[in-house]
Amino acid sequence: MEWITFLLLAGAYAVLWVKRIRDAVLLIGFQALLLAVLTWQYAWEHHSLHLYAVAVLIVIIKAVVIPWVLLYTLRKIDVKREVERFFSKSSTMLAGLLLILLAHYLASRLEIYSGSTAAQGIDPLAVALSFLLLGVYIMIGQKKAIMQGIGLIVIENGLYLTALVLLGGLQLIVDLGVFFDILVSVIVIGILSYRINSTFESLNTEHLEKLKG
Amino acid sequence: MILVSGEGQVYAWGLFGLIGFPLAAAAASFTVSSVRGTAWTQFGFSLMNAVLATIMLFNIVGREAVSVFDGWIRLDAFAAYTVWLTIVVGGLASLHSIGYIGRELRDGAVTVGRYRQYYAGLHLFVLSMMLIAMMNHIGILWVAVEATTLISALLIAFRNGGAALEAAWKYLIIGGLGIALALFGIILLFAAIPAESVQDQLMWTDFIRRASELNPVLVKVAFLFILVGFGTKAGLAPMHFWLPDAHSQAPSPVSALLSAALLHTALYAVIRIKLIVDLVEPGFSGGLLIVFGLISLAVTVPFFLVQHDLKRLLAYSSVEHMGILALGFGVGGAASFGALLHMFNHAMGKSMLFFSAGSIMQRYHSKRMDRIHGLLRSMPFTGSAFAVGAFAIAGSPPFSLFLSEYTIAAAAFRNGQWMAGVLFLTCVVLIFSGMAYYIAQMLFGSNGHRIESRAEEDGTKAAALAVPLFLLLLFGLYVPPFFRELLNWTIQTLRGVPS
Repeated sequence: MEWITFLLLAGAYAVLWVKRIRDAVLLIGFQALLLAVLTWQYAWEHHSLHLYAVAVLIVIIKAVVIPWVLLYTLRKIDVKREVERFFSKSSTMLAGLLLILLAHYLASRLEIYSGSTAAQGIDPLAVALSFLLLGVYIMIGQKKAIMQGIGLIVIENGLYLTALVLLGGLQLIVDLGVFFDILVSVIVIGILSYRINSTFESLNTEHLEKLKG
Repeated sequence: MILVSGEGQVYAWGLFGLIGFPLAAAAASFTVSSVRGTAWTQFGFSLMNAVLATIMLFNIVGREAVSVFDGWIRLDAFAAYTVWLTIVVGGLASLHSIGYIGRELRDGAVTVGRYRQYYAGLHLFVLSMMLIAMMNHIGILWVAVEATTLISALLIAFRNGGAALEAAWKYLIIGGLGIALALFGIILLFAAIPAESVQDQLMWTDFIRRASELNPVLVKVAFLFILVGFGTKAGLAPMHFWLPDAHSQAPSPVSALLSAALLHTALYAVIRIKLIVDLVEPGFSGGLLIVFGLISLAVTVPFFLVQHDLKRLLAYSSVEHMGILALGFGVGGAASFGALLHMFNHAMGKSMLFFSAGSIMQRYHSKRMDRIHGLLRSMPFTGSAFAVGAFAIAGSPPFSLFLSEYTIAAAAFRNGQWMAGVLFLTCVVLIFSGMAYYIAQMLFGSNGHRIESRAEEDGTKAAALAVPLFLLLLFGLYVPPFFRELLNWTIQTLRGVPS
């Protein structure tokens, strides 16, 4: 399973690098597929029916429906200028690397049981924490409203991974609730991005700085 | 699956009613054909729910908790009290909306379609807030908190302008980030249960029962994340940045719900989990709550003294009061009684203030306080209610907020937390003087003859002001014995003993 955790980490890091928002959305879908494979693996190991169900749900909701909603929004908005960052690309990539290192440090400090793979190289908990930190960084470092939403989804993926490696997943009904919430939040993100774009004729969050004090 | 368990079977069915009425009201918003009919039908359902909630509340005193669905939904005294407060504020907002959004409709500011969406959203928002307090499973509790964000973000963006969109977007992103942190904390809390028994139900009651087996380090780290996460939704500083924007941009009845119900239910989520932490590591969570409470109070003061926007002033006042509540629950003991009473007082006072602010804005077409003068002359009833609400919320006697704040401060001093008590009182006095200055400016003086003193506001808006006005005055002079008993019974729940 080593290679899946590695690909997950690479996938999250690559979101920092993309030029087009569309590619970021595809990366989110790719992450979801990897999470589904990982979940399937856990389900196989623990003979857990509910994890099989969750793996299927991830494919449907996170790998198909959510990217579709985001791509649909992007098509309707017809974004002219693509990804815009507050910092230069090289410093963004460097900061990303530092965050991944920080996540590994934090994971080693947490000293909790995190599956058998912990000893053999890439710690899945460290990858999960990297997702959280990179997600927050995407939300802060990106100017486009919809990219902040993508940062939020990266964080959610990290949370799912944390729950999987620490607890072998949440309970089915909780997972269902969380998936439903994520789906609705992506739809709300889509609606609001669309309205922001039609009000300001741009998705740039620099327009969203009128309210102060 | 045991559908209904607990002593009072009848009350378990009442629980289904509490969930059913808001759903019915939301459905009615789309199905009733006439516009007036829609408004009154949705209010009818809220009224019935408020009556049902009140009956449930006063019957839960002295009883064991009512639970349904194998204990996934569970109503003990603390939960019932929070649900009741939410429903009462929701009912008042639904009543006030008849006049408020009805006028927006007549002015052509909203279309009939949006008008229906508004009512449906309002009741789903109330439902999602109620569910926070009803959920025994901590994971589902999180789902309910997230649901409140999603529904209310659309309500905040209800007026399509740039500022409303900005507020809604900030709220969605900051709130989303906040509760992501809370979910991380909840996962850590689940991980604190010894590995061999993770199959367990992971209900709140399970955690209380098995507190001694929990990994204390993980519980502490988990609580930090949960406090910061749900604290963001509860408007505790320094995570309060979304709050003044959202409260000022939302339609006034929604502002009232955000301030008088949502903040309380988010704080409820923190306190629920605090009760687990208290059994594992006494004193840890209380200290943190006191710190965040004092920061919230201190942060409010400068913003309060230089404010121009009426609704932002009220929003910062909410940050202040959440600080007071966090401080009260953090100090514990008698201060918990004060905090519970303060929840009620703040809910009444703040909904009254946001309702009247809505009416004032519709009359003056501005929320800048320097453009609002002569309120008492141009709007005698709303203006007086506003004045009473403002002095009450600032904590002046004889209103009941004075009583609850006094109880919290006295308990802090009795517990030897002198620093906390002194800081608390200093901030409250500064904020009071700021409030008094602005209020005097708005109430008196000439309105420049721009605003004719027409007939009084329409009946629904006045009624939505009269109920909390009456309760604030009554509870200031005397807290009825059954209410006292109810709060004492709720405190039993706060000791962490599942009843």
